[in-house]
Amino acid sequence: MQLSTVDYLVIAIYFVFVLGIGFLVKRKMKSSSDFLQSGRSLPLWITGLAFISANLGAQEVIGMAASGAKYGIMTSHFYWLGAIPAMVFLGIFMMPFYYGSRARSVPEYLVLRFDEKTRTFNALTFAAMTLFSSGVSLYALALLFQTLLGWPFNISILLAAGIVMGYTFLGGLTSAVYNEVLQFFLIVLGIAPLVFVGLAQVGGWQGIVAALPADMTSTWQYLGSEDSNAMGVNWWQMAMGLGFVLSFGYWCTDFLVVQRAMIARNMSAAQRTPLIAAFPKMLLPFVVILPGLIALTLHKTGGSFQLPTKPDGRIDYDLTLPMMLMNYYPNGMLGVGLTALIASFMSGMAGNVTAFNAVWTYDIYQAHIKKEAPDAHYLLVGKITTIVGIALSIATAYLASQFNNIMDFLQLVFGFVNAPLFATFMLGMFWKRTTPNGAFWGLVSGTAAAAVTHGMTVAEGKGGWLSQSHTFASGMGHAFFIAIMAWLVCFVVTIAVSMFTKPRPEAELTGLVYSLTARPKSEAKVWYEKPVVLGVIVLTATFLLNLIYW
Amino acid sequence: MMNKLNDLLFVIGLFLTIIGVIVFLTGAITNNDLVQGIRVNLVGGGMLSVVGISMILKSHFTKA
Repeated sequence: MQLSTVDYLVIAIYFVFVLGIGFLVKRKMKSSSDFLQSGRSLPLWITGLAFISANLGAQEVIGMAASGAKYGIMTSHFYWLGAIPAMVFLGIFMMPFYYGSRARSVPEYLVLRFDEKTRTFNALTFAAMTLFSSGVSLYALALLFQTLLGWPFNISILLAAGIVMGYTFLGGLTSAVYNEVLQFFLIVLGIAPLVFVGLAQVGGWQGIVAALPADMTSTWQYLGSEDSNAMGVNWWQMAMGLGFVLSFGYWCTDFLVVQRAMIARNMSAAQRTPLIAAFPKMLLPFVVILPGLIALTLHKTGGSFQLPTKPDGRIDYDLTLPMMLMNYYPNGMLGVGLTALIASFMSGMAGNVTAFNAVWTYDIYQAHIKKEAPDAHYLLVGKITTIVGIALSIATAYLASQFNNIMDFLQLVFGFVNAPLFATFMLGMFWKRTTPNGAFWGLVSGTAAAAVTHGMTVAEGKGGWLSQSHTFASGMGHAFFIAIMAWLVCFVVTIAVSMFTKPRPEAELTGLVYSLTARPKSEAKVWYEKPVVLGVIVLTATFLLNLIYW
Repeated sequence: MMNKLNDLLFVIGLFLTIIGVIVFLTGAITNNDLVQGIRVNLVGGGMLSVVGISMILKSHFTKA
């Protein structure tokens, strides 16, 4: 299917609206808090949808459909095991400290709980990570434009970067969050008809089960060993690596997502943000993973759709969703589907740039370059940082185009940064004896352990640059193991160093550590305002989904 | 003065309604959107329009 005028019209209307949102909120940008933190005044449903949409970028939407085609329904572990429990934990146990401490960012919590060096280490690694991530989103978007629409790569990069810069410069975080909410509806409503059509063709879920190998349609049954499933991981790697370390490391400490809860209008809304977000999150596999399974079923049964291939003949899983849209959607919905993909790329980029803004302005510039200045100065710095962040993202996008393994590198960096950070936060929030030196050296050791583990083990030809002590069945199993090692080393070193160094006085830790903080009195009047009740409902529903697709 | 909730509901609702109506009309006029027994443009455009109009109405009746 070729794009027609109506498809371009839908895409053009989207561009007009995203810029319009920027202009709409521009008049409300009066302070650095408005620009970088949305004035901490957003309603619950907006922060809730933004919370999941911040993680619904291009890598997620296109990557999950690709993984659905490659690994089957087991990919849903990234939701039902690798997201929901961590989101519940964040809402019930961690948000009271993030929000209650009045920290403006995750690194700022670290300076309140520990010291400046720990904050700076995290701020620098996070800033680098967001710029890489933003650049990769931009690169992938330009590649999609080039492949599907035939647009020149350079023009695509400049157009997308220009639009994102327009609305984030005008409206800061509020603008980015509003566009994330818009993106959520676009993705769900833009891809849902594809699922209806695909299921009708393959004969529903039963048709998929009948056509595919059993391990592709089961979440847990084939996790006994690495060799018994397409993903190449066993239950221990899955539960410990994804379900605990990577999941909690990402959802509970990555400022990009936690920021969406920190800008809620009060503590109750902040706590319920990840819990409300968990409801649509648990259903997203049916929108983003199922198209991959449908595509594979059609491919295997010789249906009207064949999985796209690379020039060397291997299957190009990343193009599964875009090619499904091109194959099944008539002009009209094709424009909506492509707009949903464009929105996910641009929102992914904007989310990273706004998180970079806040961390640069508060945790690097204000902490180290200019401590005391009028608020207008920091507002200006935030705006300039937006432009610089976009420019650096463009540079990273071109860097990504030069190296064919930068996506793998980026995934690895996430493991290096987030996995040990979760150990630092866990001990910092729940063990009052954790010392600033323990946290810092634990974090450094954990990151180093990730690098050494990567250097000593190998999977799919990657890693093993120190020695080849062990070979993993898949890159995913490899990544899970690296994360486990990073977390474990950080956890042990933090405890060991803390035992021999001086902790901060308890009086300074009130509101920052669980045992030294009074439980906030719940003012909830009805059950759906109580975080614990919401958490129990979410976990029960997730357990049932695991059981249904066991 | 509209609050943030109403602003956003209205803007997103308007966007979804506009593209929903365009897609729906495209399906209705061209009549060539039948895929696997489903009128994709009518279904997709209808869904977008219904959600969009609901949001606009909600923004109108939500107390600022």
